Amino acid sequence: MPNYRNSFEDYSGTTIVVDWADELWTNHINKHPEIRDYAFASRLIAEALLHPSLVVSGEKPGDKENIVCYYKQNKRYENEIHYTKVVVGCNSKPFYVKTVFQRWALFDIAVQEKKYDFKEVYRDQKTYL
Amino acid sequence: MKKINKIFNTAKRDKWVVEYDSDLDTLYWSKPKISAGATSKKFLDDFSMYINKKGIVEGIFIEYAKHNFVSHNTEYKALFDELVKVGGDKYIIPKENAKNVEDLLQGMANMVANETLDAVLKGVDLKNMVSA
Repeated sequence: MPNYRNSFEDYSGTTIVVDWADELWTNHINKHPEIRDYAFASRLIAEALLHPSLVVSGEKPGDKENIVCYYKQNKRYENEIHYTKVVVGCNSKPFYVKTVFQRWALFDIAVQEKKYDFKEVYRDQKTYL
Repeated sequence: MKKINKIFNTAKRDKWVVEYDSDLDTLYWSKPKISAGATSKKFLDDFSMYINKKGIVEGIFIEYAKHNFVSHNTEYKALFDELVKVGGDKYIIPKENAKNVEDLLQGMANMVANETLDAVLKGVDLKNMVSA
């Protein structure tokens, strides 16, 4: 299977690429089956980057890699929220997608990075995240 | 969600494996391949779970595992000591080392069960969380 490759623009006009070898794609799909296939994963990534609900940036605990996490709220049920999360690495240009997945979570624990002093760089005022 | 307190038994029955992605710092203890249609749920502080349409837990994953979870739960450093690199950023605990970490994984399963109970006592409606 050819590599999973694509290029996107985020809400600020920054170019972000994905370039995963077959093995890396397989590792992702085995643990995150909701990303389904290359086309669907690209839709998820494009939507989260272009129309995020919340964007946080900071240093990944441990190796201090600069990362940006894009959260896209998809649906809500009472105090639970379904979202897409895209993690982008920023240690080289163009920036690069490290992972994408979808999840249901309780509002107050959905954004893990709040525990690590990540900076909020964008927020849609309507989001519950 | 069926038998949250029996996660360890589920893990043994379904032959879960421990995998670690060092680039993402994410630890997985799960079926080797999560079923299509299973949904990821996070209602516990440290753990996300994959739950299939029958309400069966297919795996647990922990983000920022080595550099956050372990710093607050130092006994799990021993789990990382058993990981073997298999390529790229992927590490696994090989079958021959699995016995060495059985107690730790049982402890993790107990932690998940206890935190789930705490969540329910605080008012989390698991039925909604599972069926959503």
